[in-house]
Amino acid sequence: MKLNPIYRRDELTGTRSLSLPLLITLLNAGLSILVLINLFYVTADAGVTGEISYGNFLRIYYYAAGIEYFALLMMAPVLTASSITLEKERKTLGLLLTSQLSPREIIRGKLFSALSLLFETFVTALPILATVSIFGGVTWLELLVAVLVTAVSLFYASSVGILTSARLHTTTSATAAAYIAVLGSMAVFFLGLYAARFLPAYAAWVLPGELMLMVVLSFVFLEIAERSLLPRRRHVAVHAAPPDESEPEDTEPDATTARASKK
Amino acid sequence: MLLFENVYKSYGHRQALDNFNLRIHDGAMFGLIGPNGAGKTTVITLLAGLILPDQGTIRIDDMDAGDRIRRLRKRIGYVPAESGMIPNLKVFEYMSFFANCYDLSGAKVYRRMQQLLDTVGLLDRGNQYVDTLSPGQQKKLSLARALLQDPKYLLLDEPLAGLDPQNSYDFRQVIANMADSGKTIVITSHVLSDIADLCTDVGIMDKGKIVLEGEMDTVLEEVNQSNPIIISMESGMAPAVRILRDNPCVKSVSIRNREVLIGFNGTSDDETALLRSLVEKGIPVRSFHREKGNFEAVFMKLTGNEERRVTSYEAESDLSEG
Repeated sequence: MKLNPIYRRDELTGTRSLSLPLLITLLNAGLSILVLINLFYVTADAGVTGEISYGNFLRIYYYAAGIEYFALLMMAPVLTASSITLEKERKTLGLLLTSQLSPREIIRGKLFSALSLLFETFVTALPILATVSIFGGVTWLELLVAVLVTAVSLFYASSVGILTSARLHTTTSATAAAYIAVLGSMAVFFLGLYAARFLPAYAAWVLPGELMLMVVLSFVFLEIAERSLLPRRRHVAVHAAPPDESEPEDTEPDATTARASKK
Repeated sequence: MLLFENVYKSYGHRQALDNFNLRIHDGAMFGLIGPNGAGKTTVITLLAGLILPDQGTIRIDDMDAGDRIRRLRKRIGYVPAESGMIPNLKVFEYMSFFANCYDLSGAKVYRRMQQLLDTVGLLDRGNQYVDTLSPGQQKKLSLARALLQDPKYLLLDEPLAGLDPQNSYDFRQVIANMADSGKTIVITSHVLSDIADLCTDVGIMDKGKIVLEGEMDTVLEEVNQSNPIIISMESGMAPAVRILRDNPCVKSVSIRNREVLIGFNGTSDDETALLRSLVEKGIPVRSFHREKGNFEAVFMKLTGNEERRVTSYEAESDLSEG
C-alpha cells in the first residue's frame, strides 16, 4: 500500500524538530507530578486513618486522564490549523496542487500526520495512567469509553483545524478560529452530557449520539476543506466596451494586437 | 499546444487578463514579456491550473487547463517566481518527496534525480537542507523538481529574477538544453534582454492583453527599427546632412560629436542605398549601424505611453567642415 507522501514527509520533518519531544516531556512530566502528588496524599492519608479508599485512586485516574484529554484537545488545533496555511505561506501549496496529488490526498496526509503525532503523545502517557492498575485499575469498559471519546474528540478537533487552515489565509487567524470552534463545540458536548443526568430515559443515548455527530461533522468539515483547495470559477459579468460611434466606419482596424511580420 | 481563447480574469475590481488570446505551438520556447502587473503570472497560474478564468477557454493539448486529470498534471512542470522550500528537508529528500507526489519510485527514478541534480549543479549538495541553499541554488532545485516527471510543458515564472550573472548563465544553459530536447517552454520576464537569446517566440503584454507577438527575430527587428542609425564620419558633416535630408526615408537628423543620428523608416535595402549614396558622394563614412533595440521605447510606443522625443536638424552654421 502506497504511503501518503504528505504524511511521510511531515513525519520525517517532525522528527527533526524539538517541538514533539518537548511537548511529550512537558505533558508527561506534568501528569507524573500530578499522579505522584495524589498518590502521596492518598498513602499519607491511609497512614493516618488506617483506611485505603479505592475511590481516591480512581480519582487520580480521572484527573490524569482528564488532563491528558484536554491537553491533547488543545494540541490538535495548533497542529492542524497551520497545516495548510504554512504551505500557503511557504509557497509550496501551488507545487502540491500542480502535482498528481489530489486535494483529498493532501488533506488526508495532513490529518493522518496530526493524528499520528497526537496518538504518539497519548501512548507515551499510558504508563502514567497505568499506575492505577497497582491499586486495582479501572474496568475495560471505562478504558474503552475513555479511548473512544479521546479518539473521536481528537479527530473532530483536527478536522476543525484543517477546515480553518484551508479556508483562512494566515496561521494566526486559522488557529484562533480553530480554538474558538473547538472550545465552543466541547462546551456543547459536555453540557449535553451534563444535561443527560436530568433525562434518565435518554441518558444512555446521549454519549453515543454526540460521538456520532462529531464523526459526521468531521467528515463534512474535511470535505469542505478539500473543496476549498480546488480552484473556483468566479462568475463575473464581463462587459465588452461599446463601439465608439464617433469613429467613421471605414477606419483601419485597431492594431493594438500587432503581429510582427517579416519585411 | 497551449491555447488561450477570449480569456478574462479579474481579482476583485482589477482586471488581470482582458480578452486575452494566445496560441503556443509544441516545441516553442515562448517568452512572455511585460511590466509588473501586466498579467504574466496570471497567465502562468492559469496554465498550471491553480486558478480558473472568469470567462474563456484555456486548452492544453486536448484538455482544459483547470481539469484535475492525472495525465494533464504529468505534462506540466511548474516553476513559480518564489521557490517553495520545505524546512528540515534535505535536497535528496525534497526531490524524493516530489517524485512520490507523481507516483514515481524505484532505482530508475533515483538515477533520474541524481541526473537532474547534476544538471543543475546540486549533486554534491544532496545532504544539505534545502532552506540553507542560496536563492540561486533554490531556483535551480525548483527547476530540477519541475523536470522530475519529464513534463511536456515547462512553465517558468520570472526564473532569472534575482540571480547573479553566473547562476543566470547556468540557468539559461539548462533551459536551452530543455528546449533542445523538444519541450514547450513558457518563460516570463520583465526584461527582454534576459531571454532574447533563448526564446524562439515572444509576446509583449500590457494591461492583460498581448500588444505584440511573433517570432523573436522578427520582434527584435521591429524593436531595432525604432532606433536611430548612427553614422560616424571623419569629415563632411554638412554635405552628409544635405544628402540625408533629401532621402525620403530619413525622418530626423541630429548630430552628436562626430556622429550623425538619423531616424530612418525604411527597409534594409533602403539603408544599403543610403550608405551607398553617402560613399559615392565622397563622404568618409567610418561606421554605419543601427543602435541596439530599446525594448522600453518600443513598449512605451505600443502601449501609447511614448515620450515625445525631440530630434533636431542641428544648425548648419555650427558645421565648419564642408
